[in-house]
Amino acid sequence: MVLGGKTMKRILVVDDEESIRFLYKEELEEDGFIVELAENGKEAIEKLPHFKPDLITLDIKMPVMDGIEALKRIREMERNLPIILCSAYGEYKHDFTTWASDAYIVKCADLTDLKCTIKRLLGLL
Amino acid sequence: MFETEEWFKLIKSVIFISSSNLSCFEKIDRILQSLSDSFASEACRFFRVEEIKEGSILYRILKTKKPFFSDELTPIEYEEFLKEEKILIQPFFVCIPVYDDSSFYGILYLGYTKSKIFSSEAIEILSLVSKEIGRILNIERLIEKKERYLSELGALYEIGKAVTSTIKLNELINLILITGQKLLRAKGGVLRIKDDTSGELNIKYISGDFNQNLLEERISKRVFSMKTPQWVHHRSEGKPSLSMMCVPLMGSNGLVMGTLTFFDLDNESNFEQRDFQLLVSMAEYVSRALENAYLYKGLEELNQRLKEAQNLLLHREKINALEELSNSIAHEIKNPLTSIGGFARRLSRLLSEGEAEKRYVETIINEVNRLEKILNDVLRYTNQGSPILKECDIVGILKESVSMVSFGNNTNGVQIIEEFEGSLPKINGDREQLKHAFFHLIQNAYQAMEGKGTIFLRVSSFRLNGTSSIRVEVKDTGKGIDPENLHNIFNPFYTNKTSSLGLGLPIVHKIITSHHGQIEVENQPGKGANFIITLPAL
Repeated sequence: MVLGGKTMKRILVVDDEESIRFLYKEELEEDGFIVELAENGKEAIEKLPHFKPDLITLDIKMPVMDGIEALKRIREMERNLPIILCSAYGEYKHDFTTWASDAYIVKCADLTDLKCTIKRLLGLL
Repeated sequence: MFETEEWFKLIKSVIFISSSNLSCFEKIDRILQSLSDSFASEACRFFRVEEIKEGSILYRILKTKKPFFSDELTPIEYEEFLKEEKILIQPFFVCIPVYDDSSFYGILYLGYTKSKIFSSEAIEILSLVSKEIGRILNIERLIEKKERYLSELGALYEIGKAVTSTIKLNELINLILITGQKLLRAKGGVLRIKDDTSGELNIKYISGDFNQNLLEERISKRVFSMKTPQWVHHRSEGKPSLSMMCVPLMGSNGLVMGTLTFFDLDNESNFEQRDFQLLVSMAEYVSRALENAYLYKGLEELNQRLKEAQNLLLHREKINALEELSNSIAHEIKNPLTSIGGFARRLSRLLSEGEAEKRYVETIINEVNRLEKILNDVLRYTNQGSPILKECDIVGILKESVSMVSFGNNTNGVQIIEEFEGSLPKINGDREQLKHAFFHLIQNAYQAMEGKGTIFLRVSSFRLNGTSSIRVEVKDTGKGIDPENLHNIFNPFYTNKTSSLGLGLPIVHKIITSHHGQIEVENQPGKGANFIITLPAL
């Protein structure tokens, strides 16, 4: 899809909390992204071939398949796809299991940091 | 015939005197008198063995164990004899050595101005009487020995009673000296104990009037190193002489624990050999008792430490449980808070300034911000990971910490004075964690002064137990810490500020201790507080 001459970037938001998914969708769509939602790692992987995202925001603690497992699997499929880990937990930031991600954001109400990181990784800044 | 009657009378009177209740010396005096009468002697006396000098003529006579007559002496020997004894020696005399199987008692002497012939019967009678004198003296010696033995037992009993009456070290030491001083009739005593850390033989207790005396120190040190008791008598011109007896106090491991000295200051020393013996026997009791008291003291200290450790453990357990709980609650709250705050922001953007709804929504946003800050503090405290150590320089960290503090609009009232020692050693630390710790301390200092005052930042290096260390001080001139709260400041979930959960100092404490450092506070209520951090340096 093209808007104002630019290709609209596609973001897959993966989070088990409905309110978070809703917030991210509203905010990111407002900023001109195409947003698709997934409730856990498994659903995200299923949606990947069809949706073809330019970037993924990935929660860590999720049922069915958690973010760490999903990160590993997605990396095996898409080596260069930017992935941002978004978690309420700050303590995984220095954990080696999260090194394969491109950024690590501790969730907070102010989404400025998240949005800046997304734009930086997509080369929009 | 006449002689036999005379001998019979003499023997009768000797037996009578010997079995009387008279004292030993009176008995001998009376016997000498009877002898003098019966043998018509002008001088009848008894030389006690204690009075006879080794090598003298009397000594030689005593050792022959045979009666000795004056005509056996050459004129030269006679002159010598006169000189030796310095008492009037008659020209004619007979000496009968007094002895039994076990010892010599002395010499019975009968002197005459004119020549006298003794019949063999007379000599036999004299020998008989001398045997009786020997028997009287032997009994006397036995009684004396028994008495001394009894008094020694009594003294040891006194000491035993004293040292077993208490296990408390200080009471015991006091009792040892007081009892010892009394039993030995000493003017005073000194107990020295070896200090385990310095190895010095330190004075632990002094009784009586004793001015620090060099002689006492010298003797104690000698006794300590030689492990043998000493008894010295020191005379100096124009001063009363000083007698000192010192014994080593031996531990059951064979090492010397200390020394015990008693002294007497008199013109004539009144310590006797038996006093010295008594002190030597006493030392054994005293050593055991002291050892027990030290063991008891060690046990008490250990017990105290154990109790403290137990309390700490209980406290730690409580904190751990609390940490776990707050950690899970904080995580549970974080997600809903994110969406509440996020949507509030969205709403706020839709509303224009001045609208009442805009103010409501702004209030929600601000309150969510505050909650998020509290949650971050809780999570930072409960999830403080072990530091990732790298070589770093402390001054750089401090300067960054200062730049992180927001001094609001009021920067003029607060002055920061930096006193950094030149060429400080580097430390092994987690830069981010340390930066956070110092930021908290500086921010606290700033807040404590309410806009007016001075913050001193000092960094210096020193050596602690041979290892290099860094000391950082963050001192303010604020209102200080309420002494009532002082022991709680590093406890999590404690605060004196209504606006914060008070996790700042607990986080600082956690960071510093995980760096193997220490943090303490010097507090002057009303004048300010000084936080002192020591960290091991490279």
